[in-house]
Amino acid sequence: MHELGIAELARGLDAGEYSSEELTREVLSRIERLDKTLNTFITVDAEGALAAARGADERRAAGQAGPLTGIPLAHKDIFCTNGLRTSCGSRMLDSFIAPYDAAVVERLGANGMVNVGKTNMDEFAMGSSNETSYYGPVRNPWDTGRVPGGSSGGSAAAVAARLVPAATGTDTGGSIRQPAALCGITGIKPTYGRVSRWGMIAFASSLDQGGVFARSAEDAAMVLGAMAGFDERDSTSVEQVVPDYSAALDQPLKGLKVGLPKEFFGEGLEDGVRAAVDAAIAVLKEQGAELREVSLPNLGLSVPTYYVIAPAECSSNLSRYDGVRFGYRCEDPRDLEDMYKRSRGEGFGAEVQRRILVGTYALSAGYYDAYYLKAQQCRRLISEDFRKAFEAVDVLVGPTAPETAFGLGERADDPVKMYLSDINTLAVNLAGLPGMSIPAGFADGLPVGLQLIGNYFDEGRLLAVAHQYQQHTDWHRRAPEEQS
Amino acid sequence: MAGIFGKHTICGNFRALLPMRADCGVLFTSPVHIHGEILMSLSPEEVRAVAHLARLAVDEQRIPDYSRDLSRILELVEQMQAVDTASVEPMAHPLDMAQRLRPDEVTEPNQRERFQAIAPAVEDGVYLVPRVIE
Repeated sequence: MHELGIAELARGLDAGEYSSEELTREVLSRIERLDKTLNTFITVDAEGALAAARGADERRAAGQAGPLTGIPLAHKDIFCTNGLRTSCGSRMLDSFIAPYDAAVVERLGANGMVNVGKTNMDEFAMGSSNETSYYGPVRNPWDTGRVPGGSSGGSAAAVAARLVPAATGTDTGGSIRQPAALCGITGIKPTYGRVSRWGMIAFASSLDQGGVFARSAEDAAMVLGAMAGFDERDSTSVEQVVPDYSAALDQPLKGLKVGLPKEFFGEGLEDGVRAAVDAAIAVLKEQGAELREVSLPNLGLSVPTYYVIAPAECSSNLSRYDGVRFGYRCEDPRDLEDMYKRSRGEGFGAEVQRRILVGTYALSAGYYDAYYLKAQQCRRLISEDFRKAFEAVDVLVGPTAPETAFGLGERADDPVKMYLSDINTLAVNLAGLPGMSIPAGFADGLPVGLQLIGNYFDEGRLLAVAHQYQQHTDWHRRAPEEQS
Repeated sequence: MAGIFGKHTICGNFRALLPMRADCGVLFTSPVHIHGEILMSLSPEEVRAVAHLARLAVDEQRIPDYSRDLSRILELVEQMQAVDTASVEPMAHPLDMAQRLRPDEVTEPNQRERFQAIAPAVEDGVYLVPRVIE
């Protein structure tokens, strides 16, 4: 069963070949057997999952099952789950039991999906390797000496290792697309505002967006369709109709105008990644897509711009963790200030502290204009580049990451080197566009991701292009060897 | 309400951690210009000052590392200064949308007990913190 995707599992459930309870037991037993090495889960909720699965089976018996009813999934531990620990990968929230469900959790639950647990992640989603988690690093199932990418590394690795057919993620600067690429699976980050942020723990509010990991574009379309849509509880949620993504998957590629931003193919791109991406582009061309070189001249500015805006917003968002109402509180505080300072100093790990410090500095008097305001201006320039590109083409295509998965510990001591891993993904968040990564082959045995970037609210087209590509390739069906 | 005069007191609206622009400029040195380029670095003292603003107790042993890391990050960020943005409108929201407004009505039910069940310390319905009034 673990080899099957969501659409196939739904057919099996409908045909009565197995129940959701049996499917969920299989998922739980694989997690038990394989996750000691991979460390993709922070919390497994066997009891809750089995109860939800039995509920799904009852609804199916009553003729009330939808396409996702009874399908197991995992949530990134950034989404609040009522009554279940939501740690955000941090000591700060190690004992935090959320008193409500995030909108994403609520919607997928209402669609009958069975939550089996909460996946590991970089602390507060700050990282590109899943090494900043309080719960230890996640290992890449393709090579356990390497990172899965981050920050949604647990979700990506769990789907790649065939532990769950789908998992949620969030993407502030590449945190869905980069781990999807490094783990060889499909991941989509929708347009900013498409998926409700309600109950999704905030990192950088002008960039954060929820999305999904799955084995194929077809599966991702089903899950995204269920989680997207307007939510009045999120002030940045967009009032736009969500099209039927599954129904739109069969658009042929003929005549599709594909832009190749030349900046994605410059210095720093590993040869093996370049070869795989070139081959993927050739597949699109064979299917009738028209290729055009385009330019995003300010792409290089996205790293400095992002590393002002994201830390500035993080320093503000994370000011709520003060040891008063919830979360970690230090032992025996001398006074109020000591309690604030030590609760935060002991509750946050090094990378979160670095970003709070950078953000606090960038927002401080005399520096606001030079950093935050300047970064917002650069953000406009980056965004304008995309606007111009989309006047000429329908989608943009390139490598998701310039390299394959790097070794555990290799970059942990050099934040700037780590930040540069995100060079190809950050600009998409700054512009607020939808982006996707799909498996496009291997370089030295490690997965390579192809990034697809669409115009605002054009997730349906990205999913359709990805689906057509997956009809003509089988990279998305490749699974890593099991290591227990 | 024994809390107010006893060992603990009530914590009111907590705004101290929001970014403070007005009261901290004097803590930092100005950017250093060498050969026409701006070189930014944060000394250990400056790291301590920023950590205080962020209400973050930073391990003394980590200060030199943070000073080095933050200086590198600021060096990276300085690349922005090479771009002329004089006439560029800052972009605060990726879709350039304004905040949606709603009628000014009470919509949230009171769930005090539920929310206080996860608090580090409460008593008689109030959050307890170390005493601030002598």
